[in-house]
Formats: sequence, structure tokens, C-alpha cells
Amino acid sequence: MPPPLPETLVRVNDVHRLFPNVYAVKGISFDIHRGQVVGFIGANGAGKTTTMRMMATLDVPSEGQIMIGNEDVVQRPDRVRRLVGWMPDNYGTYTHMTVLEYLDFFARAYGLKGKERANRVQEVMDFADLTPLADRMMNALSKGMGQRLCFGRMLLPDPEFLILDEPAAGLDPKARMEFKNLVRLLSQRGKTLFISSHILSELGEMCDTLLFIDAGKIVYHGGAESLRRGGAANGEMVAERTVVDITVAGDPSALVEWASMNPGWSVIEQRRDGARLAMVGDDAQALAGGLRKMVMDGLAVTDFHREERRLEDAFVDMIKQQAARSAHS
Amino acid sequence: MTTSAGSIRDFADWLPPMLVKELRQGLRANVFVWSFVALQAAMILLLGLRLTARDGSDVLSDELDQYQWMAIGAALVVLLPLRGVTAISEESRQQTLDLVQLTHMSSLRLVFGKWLALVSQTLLLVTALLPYQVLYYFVGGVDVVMNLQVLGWLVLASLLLTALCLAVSPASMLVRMVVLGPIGFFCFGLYMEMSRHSYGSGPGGLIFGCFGCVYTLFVLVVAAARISRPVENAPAKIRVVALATLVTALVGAWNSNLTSAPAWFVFGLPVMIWAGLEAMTERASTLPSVYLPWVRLGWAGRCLGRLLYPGWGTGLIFVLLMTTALACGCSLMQQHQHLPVVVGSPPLAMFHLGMAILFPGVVLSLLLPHRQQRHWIYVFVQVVCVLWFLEGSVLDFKSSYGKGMFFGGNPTSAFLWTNSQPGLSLRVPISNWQGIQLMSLTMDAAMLILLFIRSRSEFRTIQEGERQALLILKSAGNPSPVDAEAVPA
Repeated sequence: MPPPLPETLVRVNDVHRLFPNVYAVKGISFDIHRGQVVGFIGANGAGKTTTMRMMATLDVPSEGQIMIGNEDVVQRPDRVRRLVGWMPDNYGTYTHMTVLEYLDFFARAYGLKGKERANRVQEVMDFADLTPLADRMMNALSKGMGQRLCFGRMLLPDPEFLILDEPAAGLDPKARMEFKNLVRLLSQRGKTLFISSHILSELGEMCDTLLFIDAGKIVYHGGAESLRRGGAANGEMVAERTVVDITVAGDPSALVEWASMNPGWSVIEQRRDGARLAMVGDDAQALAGGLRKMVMDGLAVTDFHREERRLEDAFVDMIKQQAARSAHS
Repeated sequence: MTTSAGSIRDFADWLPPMLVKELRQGLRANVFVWSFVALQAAMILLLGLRLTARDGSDVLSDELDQYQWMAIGAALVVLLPLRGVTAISEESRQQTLDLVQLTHMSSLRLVFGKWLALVSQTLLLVTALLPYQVLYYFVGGVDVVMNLQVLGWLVLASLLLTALCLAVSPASMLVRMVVLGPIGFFCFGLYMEMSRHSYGSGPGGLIFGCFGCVYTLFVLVVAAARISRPVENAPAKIRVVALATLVTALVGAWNSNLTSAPAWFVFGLPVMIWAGLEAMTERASTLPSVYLPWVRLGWAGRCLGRLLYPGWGTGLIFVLLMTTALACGCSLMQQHQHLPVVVGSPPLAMFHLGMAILFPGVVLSLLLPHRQQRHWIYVFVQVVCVLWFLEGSVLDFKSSYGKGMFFGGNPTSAFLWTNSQPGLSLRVPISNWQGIQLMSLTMDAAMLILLFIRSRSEFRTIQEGERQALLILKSAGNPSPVDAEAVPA
């Protein structure tokens, strides 16, 4: 009886990928545990797709090692492929082929036969809500439908580890909701998911862990909440801050001037009727004191709202700090 | 009403998945539908004309024959094979190739499935033409047997050209045009010429038939190699087909008469030369999974691997084996057919050919040992060697020594020169040898020594790969977790 899959399903160890004259990935390392939903975030060209393609055995690292289920993706790609489901950012369409025929073809290619194939295709169509589209030609599908079809195809061999490259890119809000729902269902079934995106907000709420990649390097590995609180790469903490949205009666430049005169406060964005200010730290007493001082200094504050720190802001702050640190060193 | 997955029963389970997919797509494609309709319309029109010209002259009947073969030829040899030109590039462009390669399908099954689907559609079209041949027979003035024979040759040409189109489809558009243009034109002309002279029933027909099949298989294997993953060891398949071609050529020539025997070799050579090019431009693989199937067979598998593992080191052994077999085969053939040993120089020519195949390997191993894309360098070196020979052909040499030094300077020019000269053989006493043979044989010896020395690093890589594969085999007693999670296949 073979042993079960290891708890740490994926181990990426010091992986580099060199394309002619350019490193797409520079020494990244991370682990993914079974059943985790991991968000992989980075700007366009940061190295997300290259990393994912190497994990899916479609590319080979120049250096380093990727182990999936204790199998090396380079040495035993055939075995790794049994574990991995791959959904590329641009799902390919076949012309003159219906949704059902497409799934049937891939089910045949995965070696499923007869009734077993029909059952599996039906299961997948039901799961991805493709049954109503069964007879529709592939080139007549919307982007959202196409993504669902690609999702269904990926699930045909029932893989343990799913790699999704920008799955929600270009989807309308309804399709995004449907997609999030599918991810949630798969997570409940114990699947391990690795999802890339450059839109942080869509990953923050469905992922257990976030991995940030910038210029081929991992700059953050941790939870969304930890990032909001100011966690940085390697467990270091970046300076915490509180963002307050303030509305004033009259000229908002007085508010901007006030922020620049008072230490610990800074302006993020000036608006027509106020400004978004940042205060160092997240101490409630300090915030209350600052607001009181604002009123005492004669500013006609009509409204204020403490913002939840956005992942995008946290990410940008972290990148800035990283850049400053490397410039300093 | 929605369709359920159980309702899709158009193709049996045992059919290759790629064939099923391509047939589903292909039969709905405009190219097939319109070719089918247009050909049917043309046949009906020709039938009508034949009926009206029943009492007319033979000249009109011949003209109608020409139009008929023009229409069928255009469909079978041009239009339908050309669909293969984008077969793989389109998969690559749409990023569906990755998805297919992640399944259990090997690249050979992928390519073969595509070819089979295209061929099935061609055969469907041909089947639809058969009733017209029967009708023409009743109308009169038509040799049905002859027509069916021509149709058969056209189908064979179509199969080969379809495979060729598939083989070039992963390449860039420029390469596709450069390769397909001349080769397609050559094949088309050759087969049309054959069908015109009704070679079908003679020994020529056997040679064309055999090599039509061999070329088709070889071209498909090469096409698969272009998109295969390293673990599939595509070089081994190419070499096996080349060895099969060699055996076919030797057996065919042995059983032929004096006139047709050389044709078996001549037709077999392109496959063997191409296989040599592939073998000498490969690099040894560091992946143990490449060696695993061979190591599993024990020492016999590892010995066979020395011939079939990827890499130019094993390629060197492969080319030498082919060269030896060809040279010995030619020599035996001469004895078998009681030819005087000084007539012609086939064994020597074969020896020079083998050395010519190996020669660019020297340039690659000395100057560009780490280069990945090596095919074009190989071709470039050979082109330079051919230009060298052409240059020598127009030069006026003062002495035979100078001539020997020039032509023997590289194996390709020595091969071309030997082939253009009658009366040279290894059996001729050494005093009769010309400077060129001494020069070229010295060069060949030096080249072989150098290649064997340089190939040591290739064999070291192979040994390491085999060692890793053995370790994997030893750990097979502890099955991998992946086995437990295997897909329901």
C-alpha cells in the first residue's frame, strides 16, 4: 500500500529560470501544504507564469528543484503530471467543436473509457455548470464560459494540485463570483490550489496564503491579514500605518497643510472636499488625539472614516521598503 | 433540452483520442466540405461531358481524362495535405498543445492521430470518387484498372505529403515554405511521372510503394520529435526507423536485379542522412527518466541504449554502424551479383558518406559544444562543404597531389568527388589510389579519433543518468505516493 501524499505537497527550492540574457525567476523558495489555497501575486512580467509553468512540468528550471508529492518535476514529469491540473491564462479554443466534444476528447486523452468517461465528463459538467452549454460550439462561448470550460477540463483527471494562471482575468463580476464559488468548493474537497493574479483584492478573500513575486524574487509569503498589518518578506514587519479618509468644509488644502506640519501624518491623496491621510502606527488613542488636534487647530472636519488597509497599499508599501532597503545596502 | 455526456457515442473507445478530435473538427471544416462538394461537381460535369461526347473523338476523351486527373490531383495532392501545414503550429499558437501534452498522450500519438485524421478524410473523398470510375467504364473509353492504379499512387503521394506538411508545421512560416515548396513539387512531379508511365506493376512500383510508406513513417516520427518532451526519447524512434530503412534497402537490393538494386540504396539514403543529421546534433540527456526504460532491461538494454540514447556520442556509434552496414551491404551486393570489383565504388562512396554525416559533429563539438539549437549549424557546415566541392570543380589543379589535398580536405567534398569518379574501389591496389583517397582517409581517421575523444563527456552524462535511473529502480520497492493517487486510467 503506497504511503499517502506528504503534508508538504509542493517544495520549491532555490529555483532559477534563465531565458537568453534575462533571469525570469531568481532563486525562489517556498512550500505549499496539502489543502491550502495559495495566491501568487505579482505584476506583469514578475515571473508568475514562468514559475507556474515549471511547476506544471511545461518548463524546466535552470537551477534549483521543484518537488510535487515527493517527485521532482524535472526527473519524473510523468508522475508529477498525474498530480497536477493546469489552467493557463489563455485557454485555447478548438474550432468546429462543441463543449461536450472538447471534454470528451480530453477525457479520452487522459485514458478514461466507456461509462467511466461519460460519468466523469458529466460530473465535471455539473460541477462547472457546463451542462446547459454542452452542445454549444467552443468559439461561441463568452470569456466566463470559456474559463469554466477550461476549469472543467482541468478537473477531468481529478488532480490533487491545481495551478491556475490568471483565472479571473477579463471576467465580468458575475463570472468572478462564480469562479470564486468554484474555488471555494474545490477547497472544501481538500484540493490544493495555486492561483495567480495581479489583482490582489480578488485573491485576498479566497486564499489562505499569499505569495508575492517581484522581479523574479519572492518578496512576501504569509497571510492576507498579516500583510495588512504590515508583515513583510521573511517575517519582518514594515512600519504599520492607519489610513483615515477625512472630509472638511471649505478649502481642503488647509487639511493637507496640517498633515505636512504634524509629524507622524502624511497625505496619500487630496480630494475635492478633503483628503486621505496616513498616520504612523495603529494606536486608537493616538488616532483620537490626532483628530482632536485637527479640530482644535481650526479645521472644519465634517466626516472621517478609518479605512481598512488595502492589500494593494500594503503591497506597494512593501515593494517601496524593499527598494529603499536594497538601495541603502 | 440539454445533452448529457452519455449521449456522445459517435466514435468507439479504441480509436486514438487525437483521431476522434481531428475527425470531429475536420469533417465540419470548410476545406473538407468544399473540396468534397467541388470534386463531386467536377465529376458530375465530366460525366455529363463524356455522355454527350460518346460518339466523339478520342482526343476529347483524352482531354476529359486530363481534366479529371487535374481535379483529383489538386484535391488529393495539394489541397488536402496542405491542411496539415498548420496542424501543430495552430495547437501551439492556441496554447492547446501544452494541455494535450499534459495528458497521457505521447507526441507520437498526437502527430500520428492528426495524420490519421487527415488521411481518413482523404480516403473518404477517394471513396466518393470510386462510383464515377465505374460509371466512366460503362460510358466507355476508359481503362478502369489503369485509373485505379493512378488513383492509388495519388493516394500514396497524398499520405506522404500530408505527413510532410505535418512535419514542418511546428516550424516557422519561412521554414515551412522553404521546405515544402521544393519537396512538395518534387514529390508531386515524381508520383505524377510514375503514374503516367504506369510503373505501378514493376519493381519500380515496389520501391516507390515501400519507400512511400517508410518516408511517411519517418517524417511522422521526426514531426513528433519536434514537439516531444525529453522523457519520450524521440531520437531513439528516429534511429529505429532509419535502421528499419537500412534493412529494407539491403533486403530490397539483395532481391533485385542489377538495374534496380542501386535504386533501393538511393531511396533509402535520404532517411539515413536525415537520421544522421538528427543524431549528430543532439545532446545527451541528464534526465534519469530517459534511461529508466533501458536500464530496466538490464545489460542488454544498456548496450542497446549506447545506440539509441539521445546525444551525439551515441549518434556517432549509430552513424558508424549504419555506414559499416551500408558499405558491407554494397560490397556483398557486388559479389552477389557477380560484378567486377573495380566497377563503380559503392562501398567507398558509402564510407565517405558516413564520414560526411559525421563531419559537422567535429565543428560543433570543437567550436560550439554548448549550443542548444544545432541543426542550422550542421546544415551550414554541409553547405560550405558542398560549395568547397563546387569551387574545386571549376579550379584547374596543376598536380593530382594538389587536387587530392583540396577535395580530400573535408569528407563531404571527398564523398561528392568519389561519387563523380568511376573506377575507384577499396579493392584497387594502393598504388593506384589517388592522392584524394589518401588525404581523405587520413582526415577521416583524425576526425574519428577526435570525435571519440570529445564524446567522452557525452558518455559520462549517460553513465550518470543510468546511475540515477538505477537508484530510482532500486527505490521502486517503496512505491511513490503518486502511484496511490494515480488518475483513474
